[in-house]
Amino acid sequence: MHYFCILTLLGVIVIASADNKQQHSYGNRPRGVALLKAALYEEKDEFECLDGSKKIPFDQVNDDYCDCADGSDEPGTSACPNGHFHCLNIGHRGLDIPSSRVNDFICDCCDGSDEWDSGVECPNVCSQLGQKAREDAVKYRATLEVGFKQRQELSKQGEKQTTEMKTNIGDLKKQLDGLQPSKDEAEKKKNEVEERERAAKDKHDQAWNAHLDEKKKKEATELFEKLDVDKDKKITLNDLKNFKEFDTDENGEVSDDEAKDYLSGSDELDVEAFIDKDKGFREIALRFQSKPKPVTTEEKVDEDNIEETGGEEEEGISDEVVEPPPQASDEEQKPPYDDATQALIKEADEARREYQEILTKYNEVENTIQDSERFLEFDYGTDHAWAPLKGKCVELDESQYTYRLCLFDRAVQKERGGHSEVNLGHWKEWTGPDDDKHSTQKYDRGQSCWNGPERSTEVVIECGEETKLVETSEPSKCEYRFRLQSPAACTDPAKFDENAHTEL
Amino acid sequence: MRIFIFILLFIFGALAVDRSNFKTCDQATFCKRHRNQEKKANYEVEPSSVVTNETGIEARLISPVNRLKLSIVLLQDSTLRVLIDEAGTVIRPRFQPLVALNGEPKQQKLTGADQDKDSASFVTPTGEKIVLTFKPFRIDVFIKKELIVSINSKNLLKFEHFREKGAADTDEEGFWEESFKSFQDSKPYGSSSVGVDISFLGYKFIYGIPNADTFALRSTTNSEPYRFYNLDVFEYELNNPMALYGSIPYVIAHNQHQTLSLLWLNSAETWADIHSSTADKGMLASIVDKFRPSSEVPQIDVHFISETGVIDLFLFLGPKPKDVFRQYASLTGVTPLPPQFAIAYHQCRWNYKDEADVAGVHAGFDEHDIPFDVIWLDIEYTDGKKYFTWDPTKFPTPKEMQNQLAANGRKLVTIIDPHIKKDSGYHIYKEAQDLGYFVKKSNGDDYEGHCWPGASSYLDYMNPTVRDWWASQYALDKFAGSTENLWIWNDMNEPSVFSGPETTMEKDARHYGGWEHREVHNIYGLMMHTSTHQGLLQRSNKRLRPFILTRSFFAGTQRTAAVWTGDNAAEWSHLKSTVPMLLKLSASGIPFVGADVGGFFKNPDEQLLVRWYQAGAFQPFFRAHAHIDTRRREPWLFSEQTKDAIKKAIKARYRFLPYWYTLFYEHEKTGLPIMRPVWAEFPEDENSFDEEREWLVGNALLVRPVMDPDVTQTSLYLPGLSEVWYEWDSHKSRPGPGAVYIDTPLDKIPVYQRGGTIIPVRERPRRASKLMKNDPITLYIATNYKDFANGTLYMDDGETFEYKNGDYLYWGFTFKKINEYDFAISSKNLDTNGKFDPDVWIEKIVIRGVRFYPRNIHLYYDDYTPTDLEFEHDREKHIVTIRKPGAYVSREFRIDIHT
Repeated sequence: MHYFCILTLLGVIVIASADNKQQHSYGNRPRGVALLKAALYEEKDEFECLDGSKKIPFDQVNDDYCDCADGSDEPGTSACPNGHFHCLNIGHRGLDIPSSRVNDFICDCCDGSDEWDSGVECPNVCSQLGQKAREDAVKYRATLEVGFKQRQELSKQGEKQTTEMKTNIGDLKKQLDGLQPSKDEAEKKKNEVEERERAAKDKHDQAWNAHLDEKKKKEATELFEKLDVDKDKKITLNDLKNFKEFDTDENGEVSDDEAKDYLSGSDELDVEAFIDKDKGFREIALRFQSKPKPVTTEEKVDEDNIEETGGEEEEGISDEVVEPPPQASDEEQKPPYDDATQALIKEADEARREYQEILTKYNEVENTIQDSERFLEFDYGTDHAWAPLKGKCVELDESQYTYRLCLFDRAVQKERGGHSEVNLGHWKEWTGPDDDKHSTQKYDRGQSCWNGPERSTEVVIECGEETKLVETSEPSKCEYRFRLQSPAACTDPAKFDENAHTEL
Repeated sequence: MRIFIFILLFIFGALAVDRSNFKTCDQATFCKRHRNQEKKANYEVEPSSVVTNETGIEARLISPVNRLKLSIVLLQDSTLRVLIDEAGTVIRPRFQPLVALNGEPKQQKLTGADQDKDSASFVTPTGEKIVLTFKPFRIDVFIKKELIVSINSKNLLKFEHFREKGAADTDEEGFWEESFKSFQDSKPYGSSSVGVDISFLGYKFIYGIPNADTFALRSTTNSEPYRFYNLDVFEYELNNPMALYGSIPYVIAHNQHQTLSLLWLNSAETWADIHSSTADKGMLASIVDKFRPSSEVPQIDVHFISETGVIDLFLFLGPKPKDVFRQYASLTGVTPLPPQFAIAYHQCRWNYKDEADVAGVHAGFDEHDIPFDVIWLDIEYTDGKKYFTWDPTKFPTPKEMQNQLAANGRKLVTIIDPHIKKDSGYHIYKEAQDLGYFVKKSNGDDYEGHCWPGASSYLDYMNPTVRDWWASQYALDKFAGSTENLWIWNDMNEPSVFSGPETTMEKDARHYGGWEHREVHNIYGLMMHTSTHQGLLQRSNKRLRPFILTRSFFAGTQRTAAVWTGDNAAEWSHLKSTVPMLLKLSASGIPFVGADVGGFFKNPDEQLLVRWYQAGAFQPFFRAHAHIDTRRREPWLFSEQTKDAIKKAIKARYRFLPYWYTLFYEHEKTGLPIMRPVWAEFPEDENSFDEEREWLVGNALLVRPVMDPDVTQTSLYLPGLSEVWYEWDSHKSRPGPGAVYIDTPLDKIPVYQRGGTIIPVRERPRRASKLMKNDPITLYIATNYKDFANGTLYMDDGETFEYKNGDYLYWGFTFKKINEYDFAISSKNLDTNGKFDPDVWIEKIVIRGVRFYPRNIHLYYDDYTPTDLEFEHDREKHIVTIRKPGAYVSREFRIDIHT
């Protein structure tokens, strides 16, 4: 023909010949058409593109020009970029390859039928490959056989576990219901005693506060009298001017303003007002250091005090400053509760203890129910086969690290011979495709990487006779992939036989 | 709180360079001195020294303190060379990076010369007049009697001569030593900087200077000057004049009438100020008034400053963009036709981890029916970052791995860097050390710096013996584990020295011939990849065309390597910047250029990744690459929609390969860039002078990829008066000039074919380009308003040098109106030296913009035996599709269309 080329590719040397263009083993069908599609390519005057878009003369099928938008008119050539070529691969398995692999100098079909015009002679290796594939299939089927049995076992266990769990939940809920009245009873009793305890304590505290008020009044009156120099029953500015303690700016003289400041802005105060004006009294008392400060443990230190001690500090730490000043030794101690109150407190303590006891028991049961419910919420596959494997840990040693996967829990990387462990992710979800959801698991939110994301692990699952890790890798930095074998992923060998049958 | 904000910025902020690691002009004392000249040197020509010879003028320049020799030489093809060096006996010779040139420049005889007491002049065969004015020294170039270029019109010529230490006038800042951060630069020979100004009159636009800035250069009046100093800039920033990995001190001034350019041939650290003004306000007012009719003449002044070396400038006088490209290419060389795989799609990542990973990616592309030609291995493939070795655990059988790739027509590229691990057990280090092949410190010891392997020494590629030795390392029997399907990536060759000043080598390091590193810095990368090229040539006894990718570059790099824009980031702004960055490189003589698709740093979202593939598919070097800390990015790891859009973009690249390959061949012949700014094809269309969103692939395809997130429509500009453009997919025609909007769903790449062109494509993308070698061609004919179109097709074996021996074909196709009723498509052998005759035929011809009604179409191989051809006429879309003409591309044919 136009040009004969000698190619050396794949070490195969052949001479192209146009003769073989006519020879193929597709019978009456055009080259590249699977037996199943024979009816669509029956020889007529016209060929209709399989998408129905166009009709073309039948001799334009496989004429190395793409007429149909769906590529269906060129099943045997590379003309249509979206077309497919079917290799018969007798002795092995039929295969659809993209049209772009027809006559591209690479043998893709084991029967070599794809390279019918490239000059590359592809040896027919279908029988060898078929043999191998059949052997593999037998092996695989054996695995399926064993694995599937185990899966059924697992499934049974899982079903049992879940059923038990469900029954258990029922029992526990009943138990909870049984606990409820005694819990309520104990709570009621506790509340009742506590009410009485509070009343007794309040009485005691009120008496103590009244005492303190009286004491404060007495102190104030004493101070009033001391300050009321002219004894006119009023403290005036002039009275205060007699005391150098009010000379705030320490210029040797008590001014009106300085004095006024201690009378809460008034010019004069009578004894009631003096006691009332808390500020005035307190300020003055402070000025007279000899007098004990009328501070009780129940009183808060006022703002001025805070400013004095912690004015320069950040607001945030002021909590620490509100501690009572360290003058406890000067202070009058609150007297102990009387015997009746003490007895009540003891009774209340007992009621509280009893209630706590029953509450703990109640919560335990409640938590067990919640745990069980959470367990049941997990997706253990359509047949619960994964349920018995929850929490099961499998390990694999690679050169530098040991990888561990605890199913439905987390993935871990350990330095071999070291102690440090890196969390590669916590259980997240099943991530397989919709039709095979339980083929992949995702673990995420693991330890963060330097300058990178949180570690995560994808677990790809295949059928195996036992549950074990067979391979680990880190395709992207901090994104791990584990290959896990497990009987829980083994499908019914009967289905396999069915598929194998239809393929032939 | 402050800490919190800082952390937020760290996590979410855009990547940014640490500018304090790099010098400003003020920190480079020579730059500061030239930029702020209070006292000018005031050079004059010594009239008695002026000699006019056959090809130019020689003269002496004098200033109160210095004497220089000047030569103005006319070169072939309207090129002028101006050389200024020290006169008389000199203390130290000055370095000239003549290796950048493609051989000795060819001189051209003058057609006339003149001299009087004030000036000397000569005229070129093409009519340009060059005038040397004596006092003050100035060189003016007149084209068609108009002053276009003026050298030293601002009197900025400054030339620090070599002096003995302690000489007068040498106490200036940084003259005898300089420091930057913690680094000391001993300057044993003192400062020897040079600089001069060049003004372009009548210009508003100037281009060139490849870096990460805008395509049209900006005035640096209020900023740092543009800097040329090859540096490994970590997380480089866009839109600023900072130095980057490579240097081409080259500018192109363009206006509607005249394009011209200037090369400042100097390999030392260089700075360039660009100042734009109108001449009436400029220094040249008086001259301009004399020679230009209008006083409102825009003007661009360029001030080049180099730390040392000579003033050696080349002016390329055009007049059109294509003339300038050719003239520059004839001086510095072209990119020889690359092997075809190199212009297909490359898949790279730091790092494909092991042989299984490589095999998995190789199989993954096939499984998802996505073509790729080359898989790349970054530094981790080596045994401890020792180049020319393989990690024995991860890559135990590299040859088998390469053979496996080769079985599907694919190649492997591995990285080889110039830093050599200091390890006496490493054969390369040991041998180079024993032979004294490393760059030396100023005290004579082997230079040592830190890079990927830790302590390393750096080969001295300035030494021809070292280059030969380095080249010999690539021999198949020397480089264990290598095969002929292995090609090379030279990275970190600025050189990058993690422990050095500005992440590079100390300037006072010593090279072969006694040169200081400061004198040769910018050609270190060029010398390295040139040597690698030599090695790959020798490896196959000059049978196979080498492929090398380099990060560092200089003028002349194009002769031996492709260039990529280094470590960009997965950000929309970086995608956008690929256009100006690649246009700058293309216009500056390096046509084989690309940017990391997807962005090197950070993780692109799916939309950004798709859009980046779409842009990259129409840029000359098309490679996806990613940092080791990023997530995996193989196309099938994303949604179906994303995968399909990426696949479509990659397949578009494979469809257009015949066109790309033809353009690369034509580049070798003409020096024309492959990726062209719009003004290269439409020099008179002023609207496109600052265009940097779109470009032309060759003369026929206009590409304006989507480079913004979430856009459903994109606007683009169709240039050219009386031009018609056809949207590639819909065939819809649009007249130029004007803006159009186009719908851009995720898988859409706006591409237009120019009316008047014919583009050859192959509609059968396969797994790798090699597998398409015998596939038929489809011709896309886009008619113009004159019912005319033409185009070319180049083919050869795609990998060997046999095309140099005639094993190629270069054919032209023409569509034209014959008479009122008939149109014809014909083919013609454009180069009868080409004897390549493959089994390649034309399967389809699509004619766009059909305004006639064909009745029948005939094919003729000769005048007697017509074959009836089937066709379809889509009247709505105005296209005619000729079905299966079957004509061979290497045979003359004619197709008549009768209406």
